[in-house]
Amino acid sequence: MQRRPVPLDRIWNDVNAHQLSRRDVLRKAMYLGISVPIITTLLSACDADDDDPVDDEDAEAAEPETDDEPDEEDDSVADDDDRNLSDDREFGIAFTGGIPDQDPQSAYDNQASSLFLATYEMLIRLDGDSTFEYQPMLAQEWEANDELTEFTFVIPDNAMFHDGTVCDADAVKQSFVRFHQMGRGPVSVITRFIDDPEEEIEVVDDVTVRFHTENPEPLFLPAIASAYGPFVVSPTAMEENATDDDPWAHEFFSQNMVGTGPYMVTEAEPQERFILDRFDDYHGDAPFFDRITARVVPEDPTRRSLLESGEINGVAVLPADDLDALEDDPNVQVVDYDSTQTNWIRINHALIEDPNAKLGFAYAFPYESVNNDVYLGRAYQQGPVADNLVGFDPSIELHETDLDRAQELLEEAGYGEGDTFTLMYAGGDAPAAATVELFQANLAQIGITLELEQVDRSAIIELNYSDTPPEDRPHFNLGGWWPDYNDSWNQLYPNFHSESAGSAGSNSMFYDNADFDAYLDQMRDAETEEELVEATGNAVQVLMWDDPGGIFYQQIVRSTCLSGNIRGFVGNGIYIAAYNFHEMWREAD
Amino acid sequence: MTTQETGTRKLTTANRTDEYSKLDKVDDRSGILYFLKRFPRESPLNVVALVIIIGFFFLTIFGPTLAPHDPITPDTENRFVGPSSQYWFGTDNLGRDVLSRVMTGARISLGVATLIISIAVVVGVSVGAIAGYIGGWVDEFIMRMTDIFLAFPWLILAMAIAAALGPSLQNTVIALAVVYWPWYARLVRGQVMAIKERDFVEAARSIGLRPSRILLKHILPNAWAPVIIQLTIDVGYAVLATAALSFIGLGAQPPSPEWGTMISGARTYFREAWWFITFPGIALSLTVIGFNLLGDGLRDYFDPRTRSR
Repeated sequence: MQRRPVPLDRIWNDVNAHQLSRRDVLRKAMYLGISVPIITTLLSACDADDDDPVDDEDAEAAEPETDDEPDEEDDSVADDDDRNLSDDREFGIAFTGGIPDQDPQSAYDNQASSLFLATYEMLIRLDGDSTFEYQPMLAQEWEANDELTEFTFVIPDNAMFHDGTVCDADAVKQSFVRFHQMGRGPVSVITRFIDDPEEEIEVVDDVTVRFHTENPEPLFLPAIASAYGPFVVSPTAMEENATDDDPWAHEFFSQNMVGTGPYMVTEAEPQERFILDRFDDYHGDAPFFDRITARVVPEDPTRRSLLESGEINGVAVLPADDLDALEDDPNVQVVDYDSTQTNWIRINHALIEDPNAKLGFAYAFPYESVNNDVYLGRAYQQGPVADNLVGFDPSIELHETDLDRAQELLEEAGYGEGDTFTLMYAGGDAPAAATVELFQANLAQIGITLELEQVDRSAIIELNYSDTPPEDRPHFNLGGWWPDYNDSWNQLYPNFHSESAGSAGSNSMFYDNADFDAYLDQMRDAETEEELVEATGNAVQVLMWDDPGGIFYQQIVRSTCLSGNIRGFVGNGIYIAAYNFHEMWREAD
Repeated sequence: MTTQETGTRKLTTANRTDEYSKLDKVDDRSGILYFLKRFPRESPLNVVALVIIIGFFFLTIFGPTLAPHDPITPDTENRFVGPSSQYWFGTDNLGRDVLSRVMTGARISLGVATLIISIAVVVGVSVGAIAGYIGGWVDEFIMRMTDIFLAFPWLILAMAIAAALGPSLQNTVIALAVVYWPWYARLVRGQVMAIKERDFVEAARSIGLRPSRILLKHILPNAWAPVIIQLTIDVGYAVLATAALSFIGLGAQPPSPEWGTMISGARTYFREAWWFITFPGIALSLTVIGFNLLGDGLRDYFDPRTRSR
């Protein structure tokens, strides 16, 4: 098929054929001269549209960055002029349950933490999806000395608490003293580095505070950027509400948030909803959203329906089946991000003592079926330490499903057909329910009865963190964990070290192994990454094979679902199920 | 009146009070054959009720045997298969046949409900009969006890008891039996108090029969009609209550195919697999409707003011 000549070709052909007069040539040249700049301008405009940060944000929301370096274009997004902003400045999210404790230095609860990230501030926070890059939060500048024993933070001189008092360096110190001395929940985030906060935290001037550590602490900055504990609370509110029985005013802070964050609480019904309104005296740039509403919606289908209808704009917890369905919804975006969360079934160390029995149960677990058929590939088999944590040792073998081997090991340990065990798990979590039922079915095949005990989430949390003796607890319970900061020690210590048993941590099944404890101490004191990896590998070898502390079955890929017009969200593997509210905005339709 | 001629037969002391009580009955409709013959003819809804209930009791007995697939063992390769010739009611999130689970679940749901009401009837009727017959402080004490139980909303009380005892089907039975017995105690007490003043009871008392014999042989047989009506309706509600407690995690535990447990597990997936929650829901509804219709029919049958002829 002959190609149709374009005008330029035709001109050239006509000139060669002497069919054009000079006037014709000039006239056509003039047309060409006028049209080329117009076309060029139009093409430039199109190119400019392609570079529009709004579209970049689209891509970013759909596929989080993997580069640890901060994206320079993110900065341009902060400029309102470049964005097609919506007039709708309210953002609604749904929680799976209530938030009974609102004290940021006590609550060890990811949903509470996601609110704290709006109402309180740490000194610094993790940048984007990185776990070792930081951005300013309360502190605008920070530096460490070469030995990593002094960490200096400079806060702005206009920082205010929601109660109208000034946040200066002394307030920061008092807040950290409270965190350390009160000794609740995530306290190990600070006690690992600071022994005496009065001595080791120095107020240099009104806006400068310096932390001194005894040893070089390469993980101090990641810990200070944790969303569990190191928030700055108002010392004035603490003093006004302290009592003889409650010198740290925990009772007050458990029901009132008084921080320096860009949002302040204007309505709080801990079991129903929270309303956060923009704090006018916030020291930094005002966030896009004027109001954030967090509603408690325990049912998965209801959360999904509310998101689809646009009544809420963000959901951080939905089963894999719902996530798959929502990926086909053009009005919803499902943002997947790598997490540091691993899930496991804890084994009661007091009720099942024989390592062979523990290993036998590990062989009986249906790893492939759970990860592929229940989590639909949004999880993969992993040990107790996620593969993106510092210290992860890939050389440690994972368990496999082998019912014959399981039966053999259980029989060696004296267990056999007709024996009954109990497993407790929290209700309202459909994938968890399916997981334990599959485990139950596998055990039934080798004659072991597993009685499932579904209880309320609050009941299992209360049991886990209580001093109820292990003999009065079930044989197994279902759980999972991600660390406060990127560190394998921080992942294992609260859950399996003997000092963390009962109310002293999260070692709810009283795991106690001297070799494991020794390896954990080596992990804590490791001076190089190689040392940390080696010690972590040794600890995990004990925990999975020599004397199993649990059945470690998966690492999760987390997903946050957002309305289609929300921009700026970036998931972070440490700030799991949280929102970076201060960077998020809504695009106009 | 000490003797009475009935045809050619001379009454003896031993059988005379029985004859008195027969004469005192409102209507002689107690024969089972007569009942089976007449009851379906009273109303087409009675036929519907009987069909539903007989059908579910058939499933209670033979359901586990007739189930086409294993109702317990997961088969994850077949998860969420829609209704088809192989799986009439589709499969659930673990690939189990919903029809087989509904059929097997009938034994649990109906069996448990029957057990709950049986316990409640035995306890409630005994206590109520004693209170009504003896009267005085015994009656006062027992009635105040029932008042305590009846003062709480029944489902809240059942939830509290089940939660305190721990989640299991056995504790569900205890919790619901505790909730139901006071109703029967009150019902029977009222009946006994009314009947004990009747002539045939006076006659029995006057010839020196022991109170227990009077109560068991002459009063209670005449107090059964409202109890039967009540328990028929209550079996349906007990099925519902068992399912409700299981739904919130206080009753049967996985992998039990108890209907409430099934509905609870299915609610997360109803957008993707409507059949998973629908069929156990239909089974539950049908059962409750069946027992309610039966209860209504029995009330009409035994009540001379509402009977059709």
